[in-house]
Amino acid sequence: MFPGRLRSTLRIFGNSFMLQTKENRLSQYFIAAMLIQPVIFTLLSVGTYLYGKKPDFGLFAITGSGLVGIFNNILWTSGEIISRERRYETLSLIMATPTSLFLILLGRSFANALISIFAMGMTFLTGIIAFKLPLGINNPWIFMAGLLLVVLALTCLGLVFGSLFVLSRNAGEFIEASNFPVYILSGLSIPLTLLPFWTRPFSAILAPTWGNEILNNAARAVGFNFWPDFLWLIGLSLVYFLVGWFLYKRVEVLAFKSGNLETW
Amino acid sequence: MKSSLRLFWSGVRSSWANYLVYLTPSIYLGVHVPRRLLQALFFVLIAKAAGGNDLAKFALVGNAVQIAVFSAVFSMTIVIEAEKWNSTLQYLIASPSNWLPIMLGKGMADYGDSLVGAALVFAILPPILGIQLPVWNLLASIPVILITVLAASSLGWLIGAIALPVRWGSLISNMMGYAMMIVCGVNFPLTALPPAVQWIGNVLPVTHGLQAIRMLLNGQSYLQVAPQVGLELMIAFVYGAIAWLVFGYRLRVIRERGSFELI
Repeated sequence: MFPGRLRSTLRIFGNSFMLQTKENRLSQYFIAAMLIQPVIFTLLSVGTYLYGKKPDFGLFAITGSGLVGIFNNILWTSGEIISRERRYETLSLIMATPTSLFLILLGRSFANALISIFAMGMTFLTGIIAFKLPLGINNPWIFMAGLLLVVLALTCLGLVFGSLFVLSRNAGEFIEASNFPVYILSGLSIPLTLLPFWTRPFSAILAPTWGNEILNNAARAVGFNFWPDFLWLIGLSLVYFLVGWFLYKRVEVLAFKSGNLETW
Repeated sequence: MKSSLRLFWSGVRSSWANYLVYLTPSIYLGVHVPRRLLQALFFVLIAKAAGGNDLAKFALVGNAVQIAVFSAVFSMTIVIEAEKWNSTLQYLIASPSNWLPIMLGKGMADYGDSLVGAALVFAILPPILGIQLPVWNLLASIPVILITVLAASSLGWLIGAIALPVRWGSLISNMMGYAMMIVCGVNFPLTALPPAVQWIGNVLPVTHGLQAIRMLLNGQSYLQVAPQVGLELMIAFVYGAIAWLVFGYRLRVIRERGSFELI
């Protein structure tokens, strides 16, 4: 019984992953957010630091811009998944099938997250080509592990937003409004010391903050203890997942009670 | 003339009506305003970290104007895109009325909103960041801000006209808006860029307008900024004229080929 269920879960996850990957290939917004926007953000942030005669901040600005690209992709496409199903009038049908929309969202969000790693590659490439910055990474394995953990955490965060978007037609507007506060509070390309102290708790509950710290430490520091940051990121992923799951269940109950999704 | 003014006013009313449908008070206050303020704040904070208060002030002025510019470029493209997506382009073409005043009128609500965006950034961010902007100098720069945003709208119109046969208009204008932050001297001076990129910046709208605004904020007179303002006006005129020709050509080709559905 259990292996059969696991197999079916993995199949749904895999199919959702593949479907999203195919949709992304055709999405101009996804391609722009992955390939063009990270380049522009890198040119802007690194250019500003170089003009201010702070070349040491180059790598910091590059990893920050990469995380901006990853976050933007995941959040935007998580909203798009729900909005698109709504436009195609398939959202209600998916909700009505025995397969959980949450699982489908998980597979599709993970596809977005994994592909969005390219955004980080684009920012590094821009730093090397446009600014000739020496971008050696001292701890490449920790950097890669950190990047994967950030992607996992942001996938789970995408589930939280995805669940909420089922009940709203204004997902796009919400995403637009939430991008920049997250960039600022997470210290992406900005030192957190510039922000008032009362913002620290908000920064602490955002996965990009810890991802940014891990990636920067992995790139520059020697012999640092990365475990606390890793554990924090794993803990946040679990919390996001549970919140997403809880929200989804609430949304499901609301949708089944009202018998349609058109009221939202 | 009277007929053109009537058409222009009709376009203004239509754009305002569209605006009210899209921007409900909750979306405007909860999303639209915070997004603009936070976008400007993000780039100003980068400048503050890079070069202290001097560069932060430079970036604040640049980003306040850029908020309006971004909105103007994007929304003028969308005015044209919307005709396509709403399937109303054929009516625009078939109608005996002159399309130019209508299209200009349809951009007016966005033009006004983009200026409100800039005003909000100028009003709210300086006290938060502890940056001093002389109020009288800021007021003196308003006419140049209006000209700069107008010049940016002409670029948006051109992008919309060029991108009419493809489906990437909004994407192109969005990316153009961000790219202008680099090449028009928004976050750091144009002189920090390689000569070839500086040349691109010099032939784009906003660059000269922004220079004039900064000079006015530093206490210089209208006479001293006249060459920059003149250049900005000339660039606005050239982009507007090219946009008018390209858009007219597009409409003519669509009419000749009867290919409404192919765009």
